[in-house]
Parts: sequence; structure tokens; C-alpha cells
Amino acid sequence: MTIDDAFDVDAPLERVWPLLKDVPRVATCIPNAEITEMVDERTYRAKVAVKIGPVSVSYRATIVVESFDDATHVATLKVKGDELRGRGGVSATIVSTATARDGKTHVALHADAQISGIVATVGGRLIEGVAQKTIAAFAANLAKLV
Amino acid sequence: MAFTTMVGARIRRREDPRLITGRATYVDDVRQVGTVYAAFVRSPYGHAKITSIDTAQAKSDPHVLAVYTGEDLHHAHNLKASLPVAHKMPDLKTPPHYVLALDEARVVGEAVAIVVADSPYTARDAAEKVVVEYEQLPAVVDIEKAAAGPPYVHESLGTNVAFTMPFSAGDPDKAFAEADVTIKQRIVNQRVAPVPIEPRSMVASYDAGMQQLTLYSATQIPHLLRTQLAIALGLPENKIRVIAPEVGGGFGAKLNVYAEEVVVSWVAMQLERPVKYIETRSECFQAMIHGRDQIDDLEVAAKNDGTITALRLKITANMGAYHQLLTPVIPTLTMLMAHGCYKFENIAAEVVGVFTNTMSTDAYRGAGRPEATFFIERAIDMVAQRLKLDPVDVRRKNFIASSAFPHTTATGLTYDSGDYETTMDKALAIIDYAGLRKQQEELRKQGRYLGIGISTYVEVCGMGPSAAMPAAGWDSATIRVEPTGSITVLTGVSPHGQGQETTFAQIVADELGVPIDHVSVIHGDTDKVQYGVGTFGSRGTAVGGAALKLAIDTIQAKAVKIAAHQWEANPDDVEYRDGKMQVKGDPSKSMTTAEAGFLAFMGDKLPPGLEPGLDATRRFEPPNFVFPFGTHICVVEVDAQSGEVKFVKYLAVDDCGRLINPMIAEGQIHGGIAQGLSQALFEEVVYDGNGQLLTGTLMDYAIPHAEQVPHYELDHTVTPTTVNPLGIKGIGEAGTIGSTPAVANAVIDALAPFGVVHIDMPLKPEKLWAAMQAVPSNGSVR
Amino acid sequence: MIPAAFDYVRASSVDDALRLLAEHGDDAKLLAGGHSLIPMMKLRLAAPAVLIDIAGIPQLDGIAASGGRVTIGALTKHAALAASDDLRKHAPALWDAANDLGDPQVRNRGTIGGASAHGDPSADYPAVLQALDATFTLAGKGGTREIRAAEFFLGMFETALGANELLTRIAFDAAPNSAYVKFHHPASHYAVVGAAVVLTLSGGTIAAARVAITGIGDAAFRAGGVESALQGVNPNDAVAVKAATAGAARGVQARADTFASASYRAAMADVFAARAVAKAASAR
Repeated sequence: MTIDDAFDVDAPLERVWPLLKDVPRVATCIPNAEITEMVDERTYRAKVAVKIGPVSVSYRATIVVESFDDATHVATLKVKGDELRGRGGVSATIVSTATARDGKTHVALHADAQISGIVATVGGRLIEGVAQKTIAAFAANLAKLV
Repeated sequence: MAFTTMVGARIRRREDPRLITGRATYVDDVRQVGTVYAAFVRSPYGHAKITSIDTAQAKSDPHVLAVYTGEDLHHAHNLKASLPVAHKMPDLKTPPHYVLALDEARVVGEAVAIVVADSPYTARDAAEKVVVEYEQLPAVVDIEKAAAGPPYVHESLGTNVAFTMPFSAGDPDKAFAEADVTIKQRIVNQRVAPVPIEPRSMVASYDAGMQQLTLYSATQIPHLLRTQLAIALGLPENKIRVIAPEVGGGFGAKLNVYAEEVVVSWVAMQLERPVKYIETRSECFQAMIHGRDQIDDLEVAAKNDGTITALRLKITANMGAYHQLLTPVIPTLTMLMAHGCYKFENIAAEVVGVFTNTMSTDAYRGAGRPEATFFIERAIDMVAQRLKLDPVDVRRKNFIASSAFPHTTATGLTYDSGDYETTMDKALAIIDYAGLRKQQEELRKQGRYLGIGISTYVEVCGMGPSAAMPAAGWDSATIRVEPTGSITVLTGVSPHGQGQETTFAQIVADELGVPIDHVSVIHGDTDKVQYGVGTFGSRGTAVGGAALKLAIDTIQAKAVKIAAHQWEANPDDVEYRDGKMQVKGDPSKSMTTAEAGFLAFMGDKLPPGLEPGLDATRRFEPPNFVFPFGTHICVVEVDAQSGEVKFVKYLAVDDCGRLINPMIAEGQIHGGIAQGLSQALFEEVVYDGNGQLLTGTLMDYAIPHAEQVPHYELDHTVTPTTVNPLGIKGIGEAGTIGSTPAVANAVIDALAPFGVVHIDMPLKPEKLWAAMQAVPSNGSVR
Repeated sequence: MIPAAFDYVRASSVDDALRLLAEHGDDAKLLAGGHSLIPMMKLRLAAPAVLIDIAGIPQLDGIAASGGRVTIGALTKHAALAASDDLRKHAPALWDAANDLGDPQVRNRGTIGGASAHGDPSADYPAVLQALDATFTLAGKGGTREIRAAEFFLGMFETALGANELLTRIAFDAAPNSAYVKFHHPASHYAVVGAAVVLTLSGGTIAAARVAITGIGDAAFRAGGVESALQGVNPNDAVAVKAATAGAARGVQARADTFASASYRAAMADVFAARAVAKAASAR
């Protein structure tokens, strides 16, 4: 599935873009996510929990930085997560494009995600809503961080 | 024929008191000392390479007795079992189907490892501690993309096409060239899940002293399962006992040999402990076989008067990732039944079986015949619509005449007996067809859309002549007259809801003149019952009952000799009359079967040369299939605002020959219709492009509640068969076969004013609503 | 269908439940009827360490109707609502929903408070209680607070109920001209679309209307545009009602699933809102 979303950060591009490249700091903006290990410059391990109402699904994830394009301000990350109970996973390519807009920064997210296992089977109707909520929370946290 | 009191009577099922009071024993009710519990680790991916399996953490759990992976089974323990597929196709591709995935998993839910622990809870917990690393491989789900391939489900095959089977009869090209009209339509017969209330359930135990394996399994085929277990486990077959206790619904899905049955049996042998495995509903959706899933591309040639002259047909059937027991056979049945009850001579057909990264398809109630009935009954309606003829008239025009039986079809089947027009006329009269059409016209003017759907089906069942079956088609029965006069019947079929404990007792009660309560029908235990083939393909009574009749004949013949000897009469002068033996024309002396049985037990008053004991085992080899038929008429109203379908009427007039117990036959028809209409309106197994199962719970996959099915009005005609000595045909699947097209034809008929020719199932409200956004031809307001 | 291990404690009173909530914090879940929570636990999508069973707390059960006000204890079961003549008379919309919800097992165990607190986006009560403009009483450590239904249902499985709060009571003014109609999902029997309508009639036309819709978006919502468009409409004039209920889900992001697309869902909001208006007008 593909997810497209966007948000604005009340700060100039020059401040937002370096932040977007700082994976450990960006990770703190994702609800219930935590970087557990920096494998190398481009590779991180993380623990992510997706919570919605009584539902809680936890993943151990590997985040790989595909590219940071300083000219176009496009960040491409690959994320692969395995559900902790061994019942499936998520693999996603997330492309964030930051553009300056009236002194603020507009961030457009495009994600290509493949969701497998229990969540695909029983959580189909929730996925989109969860993604939107997560992105909204991420944007709010990012704004705070800036 | 014997005097009849029980046969034909609507007596209540003798099975029911224990079932409805919770006293029945299903597999999960089997309690054995020392039982341990299995949980399977299953692939969450549609297609993936298994790069590593780490079982250390699970094995260190104090509740865990053992963890085995595919690697363990294949290398350490030398169990190389590949699951069986029964078929007679020369060119069928049969890739290995290991009981636990080895290196690669090809369908979501494929078993990768088994964990055995001291409770079902600890087993489930420990299964989560088995860490499997997967590398996802490209999956293929769409049948046509798979047929064109790559990617391949089985890379080593270099193709996803499991088999191709062409067929031709007559001169279809000429018929098409000379046709007044031709109609081309793709009809998708969607994948459905059987969803029995009881999921797959098994408990295996091994007596190491006796070297005896016992498997309780919710199966329809205890003996065939025993044979396959012997092969898979390398055990002598006489050291295996399979017991099918109460089985909570099969619908064909338990006519199989599942990986779990082999693995659980093998683990019980390793641990020398009873091992129980009851799958969860989620696992049942993933790993129990599915039904249907064909694309039927058809082309019909017809004359202006509605006469159908030829059929071109391509059946593209989804096999799933592996063959299960009968996977490739199912769509070939579709091809054989492509004629329906119509007499056209020219046919060109091709069946293509295709592997995809989905669960295997296999027999599901009707198994190949519903697909045929669906497209031919839809085709008849499309011909009628195109030629502006009444669909009733098009059926009448093309029926095989009642005088033409036995009738050999172009596909090579010989229909035993039939009278299609009589059942249709009876149904039309009961439902007041002419009146309904008038009402339909009136309502259309008010913007209300009534639809009338007819399905005149014929199906092939009573499976079947051994020569035409992938494996043996006969069945067996033993009758024992016990010394005190009670009668034990051991049947080789394995009823699981079909009511043969009642109907077989009815037959015995009449023929041998005993109260029905004195007859006990035993089934489903390979150590008690002589080899039998099982219950499927509407064969229980048509084949198993026929074997019973042969055993009755043998018992009667011996009893007559015993009686004649007491009376110093010629056995030829003694006959069964009203359930008792007497000298012909002399009612002054009589003897019951029980009395003859007692004499046979005492042994001292038998004619010279006659062995003691009064029992008999007989087998019936059917000379042909049987072909039940009927007319189902469904009336619906489709809401133009929402596309919701409301049932107005449902009538079924079926003909399955002689009825042993009309109430049980009606019960079979009720259940069959429910499952058939459910395919038409509700059910659909959906995988996404990566082979993820999206309809894996009862929250998403619709099984109708009572309020979602109509009131069933039933009637019947009786056209006996000469294929078996009881003159009966099977009725287990007829409802499923007849109902789906009746409902679909009704819904599509309702939408005719909107120019609708065909809509694929399930006929969900949204599809109908979308079709009804067109301006109706009658110009009425919506 | 085997849940992960959990502890189980029984609360004897509201205060006891609040104490247990405080003690166990995030690891605990309240259990009323259990028909939303337990299925999630069986799938191991939810694995609370502790279940605090509140089903036995006295005085949270029952329906009282007096002085034009209906008060319902949070632990009142669906079956009790479905069987209540008071409710049938004073709030047929809620009576409709209770009768049209789940199956006998669910109705006999599930509670109005539990179903409301769960915040399922396809549940029936969130629409009905918003149309009834119900007031929710929430008990917390520092006492109780009251909140209107429209502020209670925030999003998908998200309500205004705090982590250390307990929903104790739901109250609303009698609404004899009210109705709830629902498009059943054929499998789950949750609402694909559910429409609740409360009408104030005056001289054969609608003086005021409250309309709420569930099943479409992340949470049930009030259809404000429809409410104002219905003013002055004769509820028996199908054409006028249809016009007024058009666009009921405007501005709401509709969800899609394997059964129904987003656009179909939105179109059905109109159809079912219109049906609910007709039904509410004829309720007595």
C-alpha cells in the first residue's frame, strides 16, 4: 500500500532539513519508537510499538538510510520491521521531501509499505487511520523539537 | 421389496440427542493421560526463503517438550514425507509438498515448525519464541499472471502451470460459424473458505510396547487417512488406528491428508506421549483448503429460437501453492459437467491448473460441479436475455428429454435418469411463475426491482465407479445379528452430519424386521470397521447404503436357510414378508431375523454345511455415478438506493430418487442452499498482491447468520435410478450446486432494466448499487 | 485463539476500580462485558498484563426514566436495553441500536459503557449517543466530571476517557422521535454505515434535528449540515428529506475495506440518514 501525507513545520528549511537527516533525533518524534543501536552511519536498529486503543503491536526494526539529497532536500529511508511475536512484519520505503514555503517548511511524505501477517489480516481497516495518526503525532513532535 | 414402515418416514435423527445436549465426543473432548499440546509456527509471508530458524529460546522454556523444524524432520529424522495427491493425469506437475516447510514457504500459514508443550497456552507462548528469519520472495496471486509467469511458486518447475487438459467433441467451429448469436462471457467463480464450526482437530498417541499409533482426527476419510499415514510414516498399516469421532462439519475440507496430521502423529511417536492439536479459527482460514477459484471463459453458440448448439470453454483453475489430496481433479469435474441438463453436442474445452502463492484449493461442497452449473445456468439466462426469450423457454428448448435416459453427454458421462421438465414445471406451478413476472413488471414501474432467478441443475455424485475415480470408489458394509437379536451395522462411510446412523437403521429395520432401536450404526474407527472409502461426493447412502443393501440380501438369504431348515421346508419356498420369514402362502409359521440369529449363534440346529453366525460383509462397486437434479427458483428485491438484496422467496424442487428420510434430505438441502447462496452474495477469500490473506477472521469473512438466509420452501419429485439397488441418488451437495446460480440469476434479473448482463460474485451491494446508477430502460424513477 | 498470560482482579466498587487502575497503570485494562477486548486478546493484538473486572460493581447497572430524562448505568447490558419498554418509548434510537447489535451472546454480556469506552469507529452507540446529545459521567480520583457525547468520541479507539477514569453513567433527555438504522457488515455485523436521528417535530415539519453517523470515518460524527437542512422539512416528503440528507458525510474522510469503498460508504450515509429521518418521524 502507499501512504501519502504532508505537514508543515513552523521553521525555515535550513533548520528543518538537518534535523530530518538526524535519524536518532527524528526517531524521538515517532510515538513509541526508540533507536536501540547504531550499526553504522546509515544503519540503525530500533524498537517500535504501534498502539491503538487496546491493540499494541511491537516490532524490531532496521532503518537504512538510502539517500539524503541536500540539493533537493529529499530523504529516502528503508525500514524493515519484524513483529516481536513472529507473526509478520513491515517493509517500507519512506521518501520525505522538504520544501521551503513562506519561511516555513512543507514536508511531504510518500511511503510504499508492505504489511504482512496478523496486522494485514485483521488490521486492514485500521492501517490507514493509524498511519495518519502517527504522521500527525510525528509532525507535532517535530515542530516541538524545532 | 420389504414392507415399509421406516423408509420414507420423517423420523428424527438418532444422532441429535447427544449432539444438542453436549454429550457428543469431538476430538477436543478426547482426554488421554499425559497429553501434551502442539502449536505450529507458520509463515506470515506469501512467498519467502527461510534463511534461519532459531529454536533455542523456545527449547529452553521449561514448559516445552520439543521443537521440530522442517530441517529436523528431513535430515535428522529422515521423515521425507511429501503429502499425497490422488489423480490419474499423466502430465501433472507434482512438486514436493513437505509436511513442514523446508528452505522456502510458499503460502501464508504454511507450517514452518512445531512446538510441543504442557498446555495449549504454553505451546502458543513458546511458538512465539521461535525466531524465523525470512527473506521475502516475489509472490504471485493472480491466476493469469501466474500462468504467464515468472515469478514461479516452485522455481524448479520453471512454470506455474500444473497441467493443461484439452477436450473437444462434435464440431464446435462449424456450430459457431452457423450460429445466429454467440455470447462471450468471462465468469469468475471466486475463492471461498469452507469454515466448518469445528476446525481441524487431532490427537495422536503411540503405544511403544504395541508399536501402535492411534490418531483421532476430524476427518471424513479415516481409512484413506490411515493408508496415507502408513506411507508417510513408513509404518505397517495394521499398526495404525484412525478414529473420526464426532466431526463438526467437513464440507469436503476434511476429505484430505493434512501436513499437521502427519507431523502430530510423528511427534507422538518421538515423545511417546499423546499430542493434541486443535487449530485456531485464524489458522483454519489460512491452512484449511479453500474451494472454487476458477476463471471460466465461455462462449455459447445459439439459434434464434434459443437452441444452444455449442460451447467453448476455458477453465483456469487456481491450485494454490501445492496440491492437496484432490486439488487438480476438482476443475476436471467442472469440465465434465459443462453440459448441465442440456443436450448440445459440440464442445471445445480446456482446463488449466495454475500454482499461486495461496492456500490449496480442493473439494468444497459440490467440488467442481457448482462451477459448471453456475456458468451454464448463467449462460442460459444470457441467451434468453439476448434473444428476448423467457429463460424458462430456453431451458425447456434445450433440456435432455425424459425419454432420452440413460443419456451420454459429449463429455462422456452417462446420465442415469432424469426428468428435468417435470421438476421445473412443478416449481413454476408452486411459485406461480407467470404471476411473479407480472408482479415484477408492475413493481418496475414503481422503481422497485424484483428479480426472478431459475436454476435447473443436474450434478454428478455417488462417487463413484473405481475406474473413474482417482482412488477406489466402492464402499463397504457389515451387518452382524448379535445373539440377543440386536443388529450392528459397520459402515465404511464416515458420516459427519449426514444422518446415516438414522437412515441406515431405517433401512435395516424395515428389511430385517427389527425395531429401529435395536440397530446400532458404527462408523469412523479403522479398528472397528472394515475398510471403507469415506463420506464425500454425496456417496454415503448412494454407495455405502448400497453396500448395506447387499449385506442385507446376504443376511436374508442365510436367515431363510436357517428358517427353512427348522420347518423342513425348501429354502426357495421361504420368503421375507413384513419383516418376518414365512413359508410362501402360509402365515401360520414365522421366524424373525433375531430368532434366526439366535439359532445361528447356538449352532446346533443349522442345516448341514451352513456356518454358524449370522453376519455379512459386502462391498458395492458402483457401475456408474448418479445424477440428481432439480429446479431452484429464487426471488429477490434489490434496493435501488443501496444495492441491498432482500430475499422474497426461495423454492427448491429436488429429485434425488427415492427418499429414505425426507426430513434428513431436507436438512441437507437447507444447509446446501445456505452455503450456495452465501457464495452468491457474501463469501470471498481475498489475498492481496503479496499473498497476504485479508479475509482471515469471521469479522471480515461472511458466513450467513440465520437472519441472512430466506425461508426455504421445498418440494420434490422422485425419479429413481438403477445404478444402485436402493434407487437413490445423493443429496448432500445438490443444494449448494442448485442455489448459487438461482440467486445470481435472480439478482442479475432484477438489474436487467439497467442493461446488466453479468456481475461476478459475490454480489455485494456496492457492485449492484454501482450498476444501478445507470438510467433504467423502463424510464421509471429510482 | 489463545491469549497471552494475564492477571485478573475484581473491582468491588468504583473507588476500588480506580485504585486498581492507579496501581497497575498502563498494563491494566478494564473488563466489563469483554466482547470487544477479549477477541483482541485472543488474537494477541492486545496483551494487557492485568484485567480489572468491573462487571460486578453494584449500582452501575440499570435504566431510569423520569422527568423527561433517561439515565443508564454504564454496566447495563445490551440485552437489558433491548428489552426496555422505557427505552422503546423515550429513546427508540437507542432501543433500535441495542436490538440490532451483535448477537445474543454479545447482547447478554456486552455493556453500553464498555462498548462506548472502546471507541470502535464502526460501533452503533457512538452515533446514537451523539444524536441523543448524551452526557457521560466519568469517575476519577478527584471525583466525577461530565462530558457531552460529541466531545467524548475523539477518533479510532480513542475517547476522552482518561487512563485513570471510569465511565459510570450515561444520561440524556427523552427523545421519542428518534431512530437508528444500520447497514450491517455481512460478517462482523458492525455498521458499514449507521445513522441516528433525533427529531423535534412541530406541526408536521421538523423544528430541529440531530443527526449522527457511524461507520464512515475514524469516529462517529454529527452531520451538522444535514441537521440544519432538515429544519422546516416535512419528514414524510421523501424528496425533500433526500435533498436535506445529501452529503451527510461531507468533510469526513471515509474509510474503505474489502466490503465497501470509501465513496460507497459516503453515499450510503445519505441513504441511511434519510431512512433514519423517516423512521424517527413515525416513531411514537
